[in-house]
Amino acid sequence: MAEYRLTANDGVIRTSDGAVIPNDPNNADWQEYQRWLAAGGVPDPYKAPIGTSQYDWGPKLVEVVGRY
Amino acid sequence: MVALPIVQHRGTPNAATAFPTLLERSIAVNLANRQLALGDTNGTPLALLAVRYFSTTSQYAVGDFVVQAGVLYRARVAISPGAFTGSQWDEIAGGPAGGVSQGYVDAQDALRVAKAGDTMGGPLFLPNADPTDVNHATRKSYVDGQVSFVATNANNRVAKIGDTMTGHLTLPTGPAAANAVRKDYVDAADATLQTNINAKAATTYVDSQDALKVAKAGDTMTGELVIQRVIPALVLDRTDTQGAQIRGRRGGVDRWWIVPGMGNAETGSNAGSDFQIARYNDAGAQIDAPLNINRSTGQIITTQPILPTTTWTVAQQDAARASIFAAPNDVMAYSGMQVNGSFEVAQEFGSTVQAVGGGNRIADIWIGVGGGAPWSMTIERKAVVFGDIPFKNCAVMSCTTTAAVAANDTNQFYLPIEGNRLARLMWGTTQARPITIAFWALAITPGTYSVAVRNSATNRCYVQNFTISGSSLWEYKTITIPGDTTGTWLNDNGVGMYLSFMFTCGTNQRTATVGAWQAGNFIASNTMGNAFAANGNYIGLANVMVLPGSYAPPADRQMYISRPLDQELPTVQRYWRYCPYNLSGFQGSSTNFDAQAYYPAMRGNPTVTMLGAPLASTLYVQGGGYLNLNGINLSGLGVTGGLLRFDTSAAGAGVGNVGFLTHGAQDKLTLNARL
Repeated sequence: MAEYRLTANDGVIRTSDGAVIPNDPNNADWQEYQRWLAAGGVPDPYKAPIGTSQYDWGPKLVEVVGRY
Repeated sequence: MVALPIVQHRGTPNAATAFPTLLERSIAVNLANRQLALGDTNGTPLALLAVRYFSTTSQYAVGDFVVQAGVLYRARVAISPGAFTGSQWDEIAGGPAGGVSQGYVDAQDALRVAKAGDTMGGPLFLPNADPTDVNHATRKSYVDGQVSFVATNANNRVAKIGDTMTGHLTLPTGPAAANAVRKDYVDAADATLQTNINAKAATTYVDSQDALKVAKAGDTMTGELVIQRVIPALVLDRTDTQGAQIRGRRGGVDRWWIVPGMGNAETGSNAGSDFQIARYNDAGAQIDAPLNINRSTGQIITTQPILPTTTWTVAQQDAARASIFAAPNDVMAYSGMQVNGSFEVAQEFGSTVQAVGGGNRIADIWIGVGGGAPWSMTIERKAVVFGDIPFKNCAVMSCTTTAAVAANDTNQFYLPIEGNRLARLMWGTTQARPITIAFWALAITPGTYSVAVRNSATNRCYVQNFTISGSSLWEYKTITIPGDTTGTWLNDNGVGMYLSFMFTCGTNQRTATVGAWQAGNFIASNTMGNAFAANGNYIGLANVMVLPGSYAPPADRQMYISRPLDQELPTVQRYWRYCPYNLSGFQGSSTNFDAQAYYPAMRGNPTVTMLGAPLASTLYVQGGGYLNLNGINLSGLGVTGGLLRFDTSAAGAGVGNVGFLTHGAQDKLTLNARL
């Protein structure tokens, strides 16, 4: 099992603690993930859940809504 | 046939009448001139006689020849009728001088000195004998001898314009007022004067009294000068462009100058002659002028802040500060660019001791860095127990196992500060402004330690030392750092500054440049000590403050300049927080629960973590009851909220129904947007 696993969107899950890390260049965990990738790390593939959600997230709902 | 000549004879008695035109070969006579003329073929009269007898009735042209008294002459000039004048003629032959012409005589004459007076072209030699008559000419040698005699005599006399005699001048007695006097005359007068002086014994009294007074030309007083009158005044009246001065000295060496009117030019409109107080070093050389007052504007300029004496009571200090600016403490507190500098907010670990390393933090955002193995270091947010300072909490780093300091080892606390909090400093531009770092520090080992500021790229740094003087005693430190006009300093939600408090540092990040900006990634000075040289050593930090500007609050005021917990908490939660208690959603499938979260803006999209997963029976779904949360498999959280998808236990009849997370679950969800 790799240190990270891909998710249904562009974030990743850190397998050590299950933290979900967003794709945000200013997120320190994402920056660490990028360093891990650059060092040759390969994340585990996305693992689809057994059930299917009736809620449609849609791409817009997972975008960053703004920065402060 | 040959024509016969026509002979005519014509005459005139007038010497001035010229011969007229004649008939060819006719003759005319001028009796007065004793001359004959013959007409030529054209009738032009031709004179026939080259030499004539001199006649008083004749006139003669230059070069005409005559015979007079048996002597042949030639006219030197045009001559009118009259008696014979020798000077008009050159004697040609037959004279008593044997034929010498007058021209010869005159030429010879010109070589001689005229009695009437003349100028000689060469020297006149005289007989080698002294003249005996007053009218005799004298030779140069005679005159030179006389001149030498006179000069010798003159040099032996006293010059009227002043001279030095080599012998004594003897004078007659009884001089008049304007006469030179004899020595015996002076001696007598001197004796009389001395007699008179001696007779006035009181002069010594005058002299002694005089010595008690201040001389107008300048003097040194040995007592105080007191001016006592209705309006006493000490007047320094300048007469040129030099400044007026009142000097304070010690042992004759300047210490202070009060200059009530400097020498700067008066250019009108009350400009110039400003006021100044200057200070001098031990050697009497001027250090600077701490106080200046502009005469024109009245502006007071000081080189240092005006501070109260330490002997003021708190009430006096309050009164003094209140007269300067109103309620400054809260203003400064909210201007503080540090986050959680008082270590009061500690959502994540509270006061739990943390091992350093792996980015472990205390007080949510303070990072402790320790040396690698075999170092063993811990950090903790701790209630203040060392000494007596008015703060509730502090940060402590302790050493369980010390080690030799390797090149890359550091023991430090550092705080990343967001660029948005520092944007006002305008660093990286020509408008860069200073900051002042104020903090309390403590260490078992007294010594020199460092504070460092770096940019996000860690290619610009400023290192400054601070000294811990006592062991395990809180000491207040302030450091003012000028703004960095170069380098790249983020002013957005990235890292604006790394602020490091260094207590151990290996050689790789040490620098000799202290108190100045430089390129590079240095965080400690070459002279910094090691606070963790022994097991059990610890250091503490309290009430860390980063203020814009160069003002450092005094120790007794700094305690007031920190934001209260209710203000600091949301500030910290911009970077790290528990998920708010408002998560609700619906069961999307048998294994998914989608929930919505909203919260105050965080620095960026947070990492969401479920602590201690799986969480049993922490999700309630209508119709499904309490379910387990097994983890988070998708996050759509932005800076102010979004959607989360949880893995759940089987929902059973709850699929499609709404539900909510219990407090027990939400207490386990953390949002991390730390720098």
